[in-house]
Amino acid sequence: MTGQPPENKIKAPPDRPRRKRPAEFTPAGRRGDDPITRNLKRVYEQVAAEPIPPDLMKLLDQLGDRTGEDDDV
Amino acid sequence: MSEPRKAPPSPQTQGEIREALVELMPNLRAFARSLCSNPARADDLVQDALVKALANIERFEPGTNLRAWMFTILRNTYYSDLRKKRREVEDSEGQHAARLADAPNQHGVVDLEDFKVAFSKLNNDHREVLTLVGAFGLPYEEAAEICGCAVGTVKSRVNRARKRLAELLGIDSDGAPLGEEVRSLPQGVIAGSW
Repeated sequence: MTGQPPENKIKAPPDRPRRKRPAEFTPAGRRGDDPITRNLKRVYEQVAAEPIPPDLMKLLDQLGDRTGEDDDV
Repeated sequence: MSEPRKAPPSPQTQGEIREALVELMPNLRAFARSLCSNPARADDLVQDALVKALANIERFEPGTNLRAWMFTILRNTYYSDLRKKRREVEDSEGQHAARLADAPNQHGVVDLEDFKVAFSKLNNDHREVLTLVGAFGLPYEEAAEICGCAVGTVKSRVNRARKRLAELLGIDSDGAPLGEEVRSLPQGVIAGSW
């Protein structure tokens, strides 16, 4: 029996081409060219291009006023 | 898409906080609009969140992430309001959904208005993670902190949201249009083929 491999020896699996990860497992944060990410950004850019409503700016200015008071102290 | 944005430097003084909040305003408004599709309601939500934040500004710890803090307040405000007005909101969202036509898709070109319609049909969990991760480019970790869930949950929600959105738009994950024979299959069959 010399020269024959022992029966219990584990054989290495045959070389297989590495499986490509399915597209849906690609981290979305790294996508950029697909229509979903592109349109998500376009929607955001539309909102970002709008002026900030005066009511919201007034609120923020209150914080600025408070800062002024704090600075005076 | 560029790499996920890192958390901006944390403001230390109230003046710096104000400046940071002004810079955050487009993101806050866009996030609010992803939660409630009505722009006026979205701005009311931002206003309510801002009032709460300013009333509790002393609780903000300098050196921590103001962006995540503000998004969390806005999100909590939205869900708190939603619980209060559940019936009313469901009715209005239902009417809104009923007005929406099925998103048309031709040759894989996605019209922005069609995209908005399809996006509005997603559930809240899906809309918020897609906005945070897809539109703003936040890291999964920060999105998880804002949504109060595990990083793995955010990842799976993003993947499911993208699949659902692609399905609604009649495209595959690469943006190619689904064949007529595929689109004519029941939704479950299409979902199973991904």
